[in-house]
Amino acid sequence: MSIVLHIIRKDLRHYWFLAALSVAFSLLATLGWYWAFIPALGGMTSSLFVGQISPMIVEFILSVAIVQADPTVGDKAFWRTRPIPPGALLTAKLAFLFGVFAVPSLLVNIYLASSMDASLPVLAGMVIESTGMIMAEALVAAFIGSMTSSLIQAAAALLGANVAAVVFAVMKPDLPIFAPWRFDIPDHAPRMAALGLYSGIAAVLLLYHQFMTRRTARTLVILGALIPAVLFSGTMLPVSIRVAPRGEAAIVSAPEPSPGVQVMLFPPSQLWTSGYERDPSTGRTIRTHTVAINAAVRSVPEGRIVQLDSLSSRVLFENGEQGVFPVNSRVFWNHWTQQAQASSICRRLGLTPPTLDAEKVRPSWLRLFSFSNEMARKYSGRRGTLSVALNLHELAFREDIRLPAKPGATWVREGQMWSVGKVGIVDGGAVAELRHLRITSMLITEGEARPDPWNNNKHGFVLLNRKRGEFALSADRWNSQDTPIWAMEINLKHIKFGDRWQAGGIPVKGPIDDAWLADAELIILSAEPAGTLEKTVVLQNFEIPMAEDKPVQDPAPFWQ
Amino acid sequence: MNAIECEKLSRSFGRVPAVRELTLAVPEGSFFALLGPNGAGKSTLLKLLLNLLHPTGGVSRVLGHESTRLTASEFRRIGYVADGQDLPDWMTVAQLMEFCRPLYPTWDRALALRLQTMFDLPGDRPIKKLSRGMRMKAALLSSLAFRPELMVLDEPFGGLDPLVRDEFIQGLLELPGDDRPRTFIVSSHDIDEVERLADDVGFLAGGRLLVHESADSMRGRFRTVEIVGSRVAAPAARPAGWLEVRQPSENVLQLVHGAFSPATESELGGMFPGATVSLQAMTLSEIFLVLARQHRGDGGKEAA
Repeated sequence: MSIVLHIIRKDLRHYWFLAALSVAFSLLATLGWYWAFIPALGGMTSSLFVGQISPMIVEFILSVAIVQADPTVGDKAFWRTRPIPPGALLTAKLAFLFGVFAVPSLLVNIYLASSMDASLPVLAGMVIESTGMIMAEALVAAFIGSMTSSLIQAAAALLGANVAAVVFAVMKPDLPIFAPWRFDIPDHAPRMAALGLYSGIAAVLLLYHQFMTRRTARTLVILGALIPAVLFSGTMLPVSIRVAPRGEAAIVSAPEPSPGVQVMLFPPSQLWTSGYERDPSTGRTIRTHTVAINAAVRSVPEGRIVQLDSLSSRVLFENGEQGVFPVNSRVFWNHWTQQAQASSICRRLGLTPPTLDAEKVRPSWLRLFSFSNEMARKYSGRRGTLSVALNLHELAFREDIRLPAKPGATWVREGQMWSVGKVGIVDGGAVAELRHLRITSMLITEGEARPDPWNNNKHGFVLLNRKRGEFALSADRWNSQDTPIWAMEINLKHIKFGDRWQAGGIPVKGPIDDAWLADAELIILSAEPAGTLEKTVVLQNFEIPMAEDKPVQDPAPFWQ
Repeated sequence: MNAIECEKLSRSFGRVPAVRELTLAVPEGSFFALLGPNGAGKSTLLKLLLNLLHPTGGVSRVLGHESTRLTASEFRRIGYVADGQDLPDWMTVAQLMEFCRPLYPTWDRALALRLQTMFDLPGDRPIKKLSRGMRMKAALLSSLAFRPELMVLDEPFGGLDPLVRDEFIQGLLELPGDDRPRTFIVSSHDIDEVERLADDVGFLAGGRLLVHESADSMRGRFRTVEIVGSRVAAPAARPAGWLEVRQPSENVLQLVHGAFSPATESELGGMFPGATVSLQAMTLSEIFLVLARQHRGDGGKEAA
């Protein structure tokens, strides 16, 4: 133990600057401070560089340098003829990397999580996930460092490994390892977690072997055997790790679907040139076209909105041929217009909404399916009966959070924190900068801490001025989101509020001003599932149109 | 007991053999000089002994432990200084001493300070800013201060100027008995310097140990011989021990006798009646050159 500490002290004395830099990056990212630096440093590029690339470069350099300070290749290393057990040396190196890379982040994480009332399981999950992710990078870099004798060699090895992986991916594009989510592999998150776990174990084994034997050629042979073994184990063998993926999950089920909801399609359809995709069957990049049609949802109960998760289309052509088209799970379509949102929000708060008539909501373009250039030529201009099966869900708002619309106001509950940054008047409207921090963990598969909440970012915002009996709804928003320390999700939102309304739904003349804002409170509503339903819509005389040169702009959902 | 033992020890780099089936025993308490030209395999042999390289055949033991199984505890008893060895050169000499001290239970701080003074080493200067000679002395200091039982020096004099070389050797010679390692093994191609120190000598060439015997024995059995007389000529069948036979003129015969004994002079007198036979003792350096030339001339196959 004393030798381990002795070596750590020695390395720390030599690499204190890089270690301090790494700790600074960790703290910077962990605390989310760099949000404040982004504008000063020039936007997303700086953010990417400061927040992501720089720490990775420093981590790689430091990991390699620490290992190469007492090299395991060559026959001239000082430590090799000194009473330093290789196991103690490896322990010291790993402990150093853990101390520099993981500990600062973990301490700040634990502090923040505790201050955000995160439960112990969530805290533990976050710590394990963060440590695993941080150390995975360090272990890979350390292994490369243990097989090379200079930083240049290590960088070349890393580059070579990446080039090899890219070449392999190009030659074998259908291997799920390169994009498991694209192949609709069930439980791809557990598989990725298993891959990460097996890779970490393999890296530790390889490091151990290299440190104990210093037989670089043999370690390379073992590496060559472990790579396919890890890939096979992670992608082919059954995995029983329970983890949730990061991202946004679909609602699986909800209790009370509304029976009367109708979906209406409004011909004519349009054919858009939608871009390029890789054809999984051939691996080639193909030009794709999307068939879209105007659609609207009717008879939605008041206070609710309807969203579409996925749809599948079939066309029975006039000649009797059946056309079955790919399932569209990225529909980017919803019935949730600003008006519907406003209506739902106001009703939930007991306010009279500015516009009540949901039936007047205009239709919007719905992407039915995408197909290749070749299929477009085959089917364009043909008529038939369209049958669309839609998976929908209903949402309702619930009031979740109230806090003063003042800088520094904070709300905390169960690992989540909302805090108000700046609030002020910009271009005639009130803009609030909100920071939403959420402790998540892929190891937490239930509850609000799971990393793929279906309702993440589905929030409604209202400014309420009780003194004047007025309110304002969010009219526009822009988000930026990051998970700077893997498990802590930071979401920065700028919410712009538009016109003022009286409680009875009457517009108030004049924009929001500072005096109005001074008395305002901010209400944040969260969406909750109100029901899931499946609808099949049949449209006679449907025609797949001829391709147009100019693509039609697709309406994006308001939360994007 | 032997401090070092090798049995048919071999090491090849690809298809190139560096050490070939070498068998050697160095007794405890001796100062063994491993001599040989560049590329003879001296450094490879020492690295095999200390497990810095893995053998491709045979076995070696150091202080009773198989080389491939040397652990940290054995290295508390072994000092190693090599030309070109990596040192943590960002450290100062004082920091190097501080780093090494806790690694050795037998580290003698007073001895370290004495050696530092003797070697005139500045404690506050980073090793990377030291001259080559200073670096070697710093390495030697860090290897002597824990009183190793075995000291392995691999080409310690390479590139050192004569003054530093003398200081280095003087440092080793002047160490009192308690401070001095019991066994030394020194590889060098600079025999003059080792001659002052060595008890035993091994000549290595082409990865083979050509000779291994005590320095005194070697000095005793090699002589340069000059025979001056009327029409002296070497016999057709070369007698045992005759090396490098030359005949500068028909009246002069020169050779190196590698099997000198008190009877040699009378034997030669008998072979060349009336001729003047003069014999002269050889230095290890001269003997080494003869052996090296012999080895080269015989395609690396013959041992003296």
